[in-house]
Amino acid sequence: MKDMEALGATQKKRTREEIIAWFDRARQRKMAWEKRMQKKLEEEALLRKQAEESHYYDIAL
Amino acid sequence: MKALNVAQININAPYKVWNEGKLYRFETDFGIGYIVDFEQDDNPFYTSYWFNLTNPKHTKSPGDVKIAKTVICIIEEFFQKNPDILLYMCSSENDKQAQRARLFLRWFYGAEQQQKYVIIATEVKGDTKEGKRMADYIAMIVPRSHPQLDEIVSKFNEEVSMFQELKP
Repeated sequence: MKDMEALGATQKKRTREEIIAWFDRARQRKMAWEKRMQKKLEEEALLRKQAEESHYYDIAL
Repeated sequence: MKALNVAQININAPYKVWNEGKLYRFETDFGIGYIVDFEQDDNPFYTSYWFNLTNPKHTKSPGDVKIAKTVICIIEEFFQKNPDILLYMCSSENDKQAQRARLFLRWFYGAEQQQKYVIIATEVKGDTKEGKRMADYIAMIVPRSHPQLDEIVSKFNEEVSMFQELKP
């Protein structure tokens, strides 16, 4: 039964509007992900800078 | 998605790859950091993942073939663990999506990947119902061993064909 349902699902066709919405979601997710990664790298750079300027960094060296 | 084995990637990857949770990272000889991620797609038909690759500082590194080789090693490991479908949408930042698509495909077409995978890339363009113009480059990579290969390729071609001409 499950196989039949799966077959039915794959045979179903998406409309043009459904596909546009799919592209939109993919684009939005990708842009949000890139922004998150950019922020992550900026935070890492800030932490590195703080560590370099800190007293403890001198001790660690 | 099954997690990738970083040790396996690093057997052949020219740049050392490490992971942080579900992110895979590497840094080039020129100090440029790259981040890779796989995000499950929400299409109702097949298990597929969007491949995300970014160099968040957007630093250029012309001619660094090690980047492509490292990315291919990551993707190979992805398919070892997840024999599904990989989708790639090129970033439209700076309107350079066509350039990014060409680069991505050159990485794939240049290697022996064509023997293992079917790779289809296409530009999709048209207007959304809000009247906004869209122009994206979408690539799909499917292992030739995928049991539904023909059906997947046919459906993908059928769906994107609706967007290869400007239609209202």
